[in-house]
Amino acid sequence: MNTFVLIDPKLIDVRLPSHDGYPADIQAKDTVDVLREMCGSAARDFPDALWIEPENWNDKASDNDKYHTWGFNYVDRFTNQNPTHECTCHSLRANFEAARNRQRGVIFKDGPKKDFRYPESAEFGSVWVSPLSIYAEANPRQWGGAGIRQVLEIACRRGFLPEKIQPKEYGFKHALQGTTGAGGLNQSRGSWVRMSDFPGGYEETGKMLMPLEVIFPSMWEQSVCLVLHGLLNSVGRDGHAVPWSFWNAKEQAMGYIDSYDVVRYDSLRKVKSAWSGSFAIASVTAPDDWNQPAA
Amino acid sequence: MRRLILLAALLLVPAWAWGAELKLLGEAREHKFATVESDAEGPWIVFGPNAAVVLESKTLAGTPVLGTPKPNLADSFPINGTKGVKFVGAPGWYVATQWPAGDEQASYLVIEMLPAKDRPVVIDPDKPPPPPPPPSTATAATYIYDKDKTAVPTQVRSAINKINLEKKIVATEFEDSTIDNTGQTPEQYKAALAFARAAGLPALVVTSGNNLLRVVKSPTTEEQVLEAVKP
Repeated sequence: MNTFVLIDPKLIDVRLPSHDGYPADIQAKDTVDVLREMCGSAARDFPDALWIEPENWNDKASDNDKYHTWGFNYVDRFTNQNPTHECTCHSLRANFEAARNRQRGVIFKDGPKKDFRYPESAEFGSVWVSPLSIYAEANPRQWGGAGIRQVLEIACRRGFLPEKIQPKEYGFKHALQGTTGAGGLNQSRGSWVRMSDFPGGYEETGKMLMPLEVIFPSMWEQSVCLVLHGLLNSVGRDGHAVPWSFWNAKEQAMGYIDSYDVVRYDSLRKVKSAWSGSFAIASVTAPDDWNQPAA
Repeated sequence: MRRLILLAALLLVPAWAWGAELKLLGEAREHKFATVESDAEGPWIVFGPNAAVVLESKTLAGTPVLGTPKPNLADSFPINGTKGVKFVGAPGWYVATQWPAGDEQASYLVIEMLPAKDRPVVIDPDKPPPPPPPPSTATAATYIYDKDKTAVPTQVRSAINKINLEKKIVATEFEDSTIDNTGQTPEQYKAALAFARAAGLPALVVTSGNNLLRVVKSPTTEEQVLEAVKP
C-alpha cells in the first residue's frame, strides 16, 4: 500500500442517497459518555503510549506502508450490507476482525479484496463474525438502523456469532448468516432472523468472539494515532457508520473499508467533525489454541 | 559463588509476587527437592527448561504427579500447614506460579536450580560420551505487552507475520490482560506470560511447548525477533 498518493476525488466524503442504518436521531444519542457506559468494563481511555506527535505521522505511515501493518492489512474480506440498515454492525465486525487477526499476527498484504479469499485466512484461523448476530438484537424491527451504543453494548455483553461461511470448518456450535443484504464470496446472506429464533445456548459461542478492551479517543488526533498503530477506528457520520482503517498522508484523509465491497475516504474536515464517539477495539477474547478457535 | 549470591538475592526478594507471598524453602539444587510455599491456597504450575521438570508434585490427596507440568497435574499440596509445590529438575531457571482462587493476581517466584554439589564424575573410557541433546525447536513466539505502556513496534508486527508464514511457528502478540471465553488466561499463553512477567514487559518469549527457549526484552526490530526463533 502507498498512502502517499492522491485519492480519486469521487471516493472522498461520499454521501449515500439516504441513511443506511445510522440516521441523525440515532447518532444524536451516541454521546461519548453513553458509549463508554454501554461498554462497561471494556471501556478504555486513549493510552498515552499510543500517542504519536503529528510531525511523526508521516514516518509512521511510511513504516505501515512498507511493512503492511495498517489495520486495513489485518482485514481479510469485504462485507456487503446493501440494501439493509446494518452499517453500524458491519463497521463493528471489521473492527473486531482486525483486532483478532492482529492478535493472531497474520497480515493480509493487500487488505480486503472483492471476490477474493486469502488462503491464509483458513491456514491461520481467521474467524468471520456475523453483523446480523448483533443487529438482530439491536433493532428487532429490522429497518431503521441501530445506534453504536446498542451494538457495542451487545458485542461487549455476549459477543458475536460466527458467520455460516468461514474460511475453514472450525466446528462452531452456533452460526448465523452474515447479513440480510447482498453478502458475497466471503459473507453469507439469508433471511431476517428474530432473537427468539436464535438457537439455544448461542451465548456460549458468543463468549469466544467478544471485544475485551475498547478505546475511546478524546481528540481527533488520537483517532489518527489509533489508525497509525494498526487499530480500526469505527465512526458514524452522515447517516452511515464506517471503520477508519488507514491514513492517507498525502491528502490527510482517512481510508475506510466500506460495507459495499469498496474502499472510500473521509477528508480531514470530515474527520475533525466526526471523530467524537468513535471507538477502536484493542483486544478480543483469544482461543486456547489458534488452530481450534471453536474448542 | 556468584550463583549463591544470586540465589540469596532471590531469597531475600520474593520477586513478582502480586498476590500471595511465595518463598523458597531449602536448597534448590539438582537431585534435591526445591519446595516453594505460599501463605494462601491455590493451584500451581512450575515452568522450567525442559518438559520433565516437575519430577514430583502432589495433589491434596497426596498422589504423586509426574511429567509435563500442566494446571491439572502440578496441583497444590500442604506443606507445614500452608500450600506449596515441591519439585526437582535439571540445573536452570524455573518459575513457580500460583493461581489463587478468585480475582487475585497470580504470584510468581523465579528460582535457579543449581548443579548438584560433590557429584562424582564417572568416565568410562570404553563408552563414547553421550550425544548432546537435540536442539529444542521453537513452537511459539509471543510478543507480550501492556497496551497502557507499550505500542507494539511496526517491525515486530512484520516479523511476527513472517514467522507465521515462513517458519510455521505460532507467532502472535498478546496484551497481558487478554482472556479466553472462560475469563482465564488462554491455555496457550500461560507459560509464556509467566516467563514474560518474570522478565518484565514487553518481551518476546520463544517457547517449545511449555518450555522456555529464550526471552528477548523489548525487541523493536525485525532482526531481533527473527533471530530469536532460529534453532
